[in-house]
Amino acid sequence: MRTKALDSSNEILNWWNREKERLSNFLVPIIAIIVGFLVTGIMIALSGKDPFAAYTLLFKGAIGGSFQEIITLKVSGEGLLKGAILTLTGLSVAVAFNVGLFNIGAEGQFIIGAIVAAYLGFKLNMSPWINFPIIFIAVAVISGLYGALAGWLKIKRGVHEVITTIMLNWIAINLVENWLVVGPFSIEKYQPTSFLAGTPYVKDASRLKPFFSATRLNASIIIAVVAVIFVYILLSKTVLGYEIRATGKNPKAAKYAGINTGRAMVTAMFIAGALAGISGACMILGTEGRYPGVFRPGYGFDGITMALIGGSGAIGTFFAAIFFGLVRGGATGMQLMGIHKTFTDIIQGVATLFVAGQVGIKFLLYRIGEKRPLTKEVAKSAND
Amino acid sequence: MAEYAVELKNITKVFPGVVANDKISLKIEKGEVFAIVGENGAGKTTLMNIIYGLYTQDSGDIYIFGKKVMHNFPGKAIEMGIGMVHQHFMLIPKFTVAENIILGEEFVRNGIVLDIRKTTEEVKKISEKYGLKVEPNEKVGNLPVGIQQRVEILKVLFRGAKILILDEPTAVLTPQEIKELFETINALKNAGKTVIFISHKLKEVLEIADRIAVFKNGKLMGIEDAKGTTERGLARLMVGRDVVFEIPKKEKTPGDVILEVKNLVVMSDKGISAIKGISFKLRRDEILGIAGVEGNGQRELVEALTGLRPVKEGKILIRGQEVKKFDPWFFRKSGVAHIPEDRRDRGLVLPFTVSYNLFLGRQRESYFSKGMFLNRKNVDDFGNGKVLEYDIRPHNSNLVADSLSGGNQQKVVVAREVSYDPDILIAAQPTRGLDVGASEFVHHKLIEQRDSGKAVTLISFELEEIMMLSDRIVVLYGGEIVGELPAEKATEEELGLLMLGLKRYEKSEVAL
Repeated sequence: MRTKALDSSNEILNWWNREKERLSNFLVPIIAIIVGFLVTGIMIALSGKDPFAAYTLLFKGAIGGSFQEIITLKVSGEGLLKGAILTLTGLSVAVAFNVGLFNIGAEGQFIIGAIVAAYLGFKLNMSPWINFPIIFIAVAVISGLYGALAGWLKIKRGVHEVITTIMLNWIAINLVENWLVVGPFSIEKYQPTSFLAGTPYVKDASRLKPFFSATRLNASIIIAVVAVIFVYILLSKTVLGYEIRATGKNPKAAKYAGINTGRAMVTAMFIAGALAGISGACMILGTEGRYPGVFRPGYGFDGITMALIGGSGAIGTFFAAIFFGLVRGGATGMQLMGIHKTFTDIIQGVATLFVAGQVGIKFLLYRIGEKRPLTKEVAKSAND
Repeated sequence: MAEYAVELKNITKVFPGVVANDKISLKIEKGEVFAIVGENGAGKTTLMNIIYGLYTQDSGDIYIFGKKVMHNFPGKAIEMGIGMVHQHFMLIPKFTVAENIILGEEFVRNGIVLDIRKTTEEVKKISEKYGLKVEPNEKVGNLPVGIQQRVEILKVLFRGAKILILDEPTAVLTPQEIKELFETINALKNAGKTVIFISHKLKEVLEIADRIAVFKNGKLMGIEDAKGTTERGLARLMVGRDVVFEIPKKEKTPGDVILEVKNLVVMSDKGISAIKGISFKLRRDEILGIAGVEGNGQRELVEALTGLRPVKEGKILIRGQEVKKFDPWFFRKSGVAHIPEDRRDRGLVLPFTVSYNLFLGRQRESYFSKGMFLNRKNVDDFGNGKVLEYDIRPHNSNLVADSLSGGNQQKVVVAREVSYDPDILIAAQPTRGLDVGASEFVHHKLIEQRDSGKAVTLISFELEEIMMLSDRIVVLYGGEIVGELPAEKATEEELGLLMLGLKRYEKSEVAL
């Protein structure tokens, strides 16, 4: 009897041991997001508003509405659009994470991509079939090189990528907003009568047009999905992806085995830069229509959050980005009752904090799963 | 009835899928040195963790000094006089020796101020009492490993331990430090302490222990008096069969020179020359043993020979061709494979699966790839094949390498490196931390390479291993080759003198 009971409890434990890593990889971000909502709810309550009413409006704004409204993407369209932009910057950071680098420079690469798209968008005057490939390839290459620069400095000069990417962000911002946009690319040069600040509007043939009249949702979402598939295949199916991940997980072993770790880092940073740049281009060719006088939407930095919550994988990053895109889309609804939409940033911030502390959360999960005190070290020695 | 320091009755502990301890009953007398040996995974560490209260047994009773222990936990174990020194030290490098020893039991003056003078005095007192010399005001980070271990032992003694559990204490030590540790253990024994010594090195336990318990697959196979048994007898109990200490080698005369090193100078990380102009030749059909005490340039030499470290001066010639490009890929392409000294740090990508580790570095070969893509089928086939061929356990190439035992991790590394079919195999500490069975396996593989006409360089701090496998031995001391001799002429005494720098052959004697 006893052994039988032991056997079945063993089976459960076996299952738990086999699956705990995968399960908790899945559960940690969800718990983090829930905690994010709880903390934000408390803050809404502290500011004297009703958090339940606020969240009802939030979800209504995000996905709610009548069947017809959902089908025509009238409500969720805005959220999906934001999600698409976030997906692309999130993937940028995720690819860099996979090679072991922290790409804080997604913001700068985003801005570079945006200005390249804005410039070519009003300069090129051909059919969309020619314009789009030229613009996106140019954006990918130029932003890619901007990202690769940080990787190159790392392997050649040993400068930490966090330092270089932060500096490159400022270089990009100042180069673009204090020179190009007010100088050579400024609208005044082309239309002296204009009262606008920023660059001229891109040609109609280079606009990503809304699918439906009800929302601004455009082909960005398709580009984002293609990018997700691309990154997924890159990381899990290709030789290059294998080299990138080996370098990220143990650079010493990768180097010892003869993998060119420097090349893996620079290539990964190129891809990261290209993805962030494409994100910027989508924003310009889609919603903005031109590079405005002041344009710092922060999507590059938000990409860090998406990659962290998404566990640095393509699919996870996609889900995180779409989720937070919808939340942001719905946040406009919360404004109806006087809650500023930046409250959703708190949800995002708290969730990130929790994912960053996931070692702690996993530890608690394991402990619940095993119902016995276990320290990491002891768990390890149990294996030998 | 005599009172025992530790008495265990039918201790059983089950982990998912394995019975880690199966009805273990044993008695450890007061004031004895009791050794526990067994292969990796035999359940030694689990049993110690139960005694120390890190685990709770599923059934069975523990008596410490005759008192039954209920619901044990580390704090209580310490209270009852049990102290444990872990394999990996738990010291704070930036603190001084004294600060580390008193951590958690600080002497406080006026309620808040740490009484440094009293601390130093108390530490001095305890170190003198047991004859364990330490400098109380030295920062722990500056101390050699052997002394750090001594600090750990003092830390445990300071908390009033009467029973000391030492978990694989010699794994990280040099031969000299091991000797000093043994003196320490004898001093503890003379002071009336009970020492439980966990190891898988048979020679050591025979030297230091009074009695030896042998574990296998969670079972206690027997307890032997150290005086009444031999290495062979213990090994048979441990592995369950006769272990071949002498591995038969084919009669071979060394063939062509395949690797030649001329006046090689290599710098250490600190920028001083670690290898000071050495020259040697490696031929086919031979194992060249490089003996020496740790830290005499072995690491730098190995890294230079595998392209991981640039050469400052001198030449490396592979098949007579001078190497101009010092990068690991070039060396691998030239037929040099490398079993690194640290499999976890360099040999494996631990979060990758076994099969992903088995082709690390070969991902661009046509067998493993289809254009830009990995050939998953071939990757899996190769992984499954090697797992069976090398008996890598568990037999599942999709497990994460981190989840394997040390011996099986090393098998993954050896399988990969041998599968390169290299002309030159550089094996650095290939059996470090491995148990008898796994070591035997690795030794067989090295000899197989030699017998099939390849050249092997074996770098090891263990003289026994060098003498058993090598055809020719060079001794490295202070970054120079101080002696070279054929294996059949080498004696332990002679090599020992060379290794310690007490003797040195003239250049003419070195040339062969």
